[in-house]
Amino acid sequence: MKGRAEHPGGPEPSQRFENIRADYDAYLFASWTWIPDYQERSELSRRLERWEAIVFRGLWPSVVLYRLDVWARRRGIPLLPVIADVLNRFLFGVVIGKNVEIGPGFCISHGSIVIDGVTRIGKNCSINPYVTIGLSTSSRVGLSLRGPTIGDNVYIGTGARVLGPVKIGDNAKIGANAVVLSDVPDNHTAVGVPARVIPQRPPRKGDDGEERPARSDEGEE
Amino acid sequence: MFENVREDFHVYAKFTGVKELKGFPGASWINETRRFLAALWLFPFSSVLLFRAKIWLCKHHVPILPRLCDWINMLVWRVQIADSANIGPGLCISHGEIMIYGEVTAGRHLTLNPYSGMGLVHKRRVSHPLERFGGPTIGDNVFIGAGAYLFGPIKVGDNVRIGASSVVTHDVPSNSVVAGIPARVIEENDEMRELVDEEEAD
Repeated sequence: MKGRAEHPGGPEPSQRFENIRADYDAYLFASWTWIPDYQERSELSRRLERWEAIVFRGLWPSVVLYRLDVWARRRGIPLLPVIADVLNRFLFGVVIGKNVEIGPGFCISHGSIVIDGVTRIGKNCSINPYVTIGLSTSSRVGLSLRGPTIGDNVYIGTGARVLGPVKIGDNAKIGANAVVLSDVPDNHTAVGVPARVIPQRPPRKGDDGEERPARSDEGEE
Repeated sequence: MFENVREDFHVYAKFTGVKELKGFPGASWINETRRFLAALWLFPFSSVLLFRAKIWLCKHHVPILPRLCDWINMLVWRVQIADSANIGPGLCISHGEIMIYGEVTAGRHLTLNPYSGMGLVHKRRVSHPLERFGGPTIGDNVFIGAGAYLFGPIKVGDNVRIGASSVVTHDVPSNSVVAGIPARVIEENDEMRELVDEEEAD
């Protein structure tokens, strides 16, 4: 929300593990979709439950594998990227190409996604199952390896396809099973096949402008 | 659990196409065994078994094993079904790749095609944290096409067919066909083929 990050992938390899930390926080943030937060339990048991949900039910390990893949490629370590890639594909069905830059706080909710092309994804994006982000071979676009450029805090719904060199703004949302072939401006929602941008609804009373629930009602920290 | 599994097996057994053997003692037993093996080898019957086992283990508060069932299900079939799903007997997962989350309640003979599933809606304000977990309530004999997704605390009636790649966000009346994004009723009073067992009909 403070503008696009300078380098969504993180400029230095030393920042890679901060990314993983940010990813974990993003999963912590999103984990209300898997487990309710019982306020009456003790702090430790709630933390353990969250951890179990993120590591064994969530897809945080797959994001870690992807970060490992990128880190090893930057360092020029042989074989490790291939292993990470194959494991990611085999265990979680997550296929992420070599030219993809993904910012910190990336959240894949249930796996089975494909991201390819020269693609940039900003900070705190969350992606749902069966999503394809990649290249378009339509005559309108021509032969190009440029994939979508996606801003910060973007939510991509189940089964959506984002194809070709389109630009998706910050805080945008893409509906389930939408096929996005044109740009989506900031703070807007796109739905349908092919996707059309639906007019922004006026802010309701009590909305704080946040797309996700405020961190305070998660009961973390 | 075992009644559910028997019903699931009867649904899969219809698709196996095992030739009926007759005319010698124990023929029916051999038929059933061959059908069972065919359902296990050729169809994702094992994923349904794992799902039922997981629910049973969760009910009896067994640790770790439900997660193991989940992992095998995900690795082998890419089927992810939440612990909170309450699906009636006769569940048929046709080819795997299913994603079901939230407090889902489904009746008998639910058919799920690949890339379909049910999910939650991102609600901003709720009066109780558990309100966020409301999933669809589905009747009997519902067919969910490939890539179709159901969101939020909606009600789907009996004998409904949901078209491929549709997104269902509102209630669906019984005996209808819905399709599109968002899903609309395209046919009412549709006569769906009966999925009732021959043995039950007798």
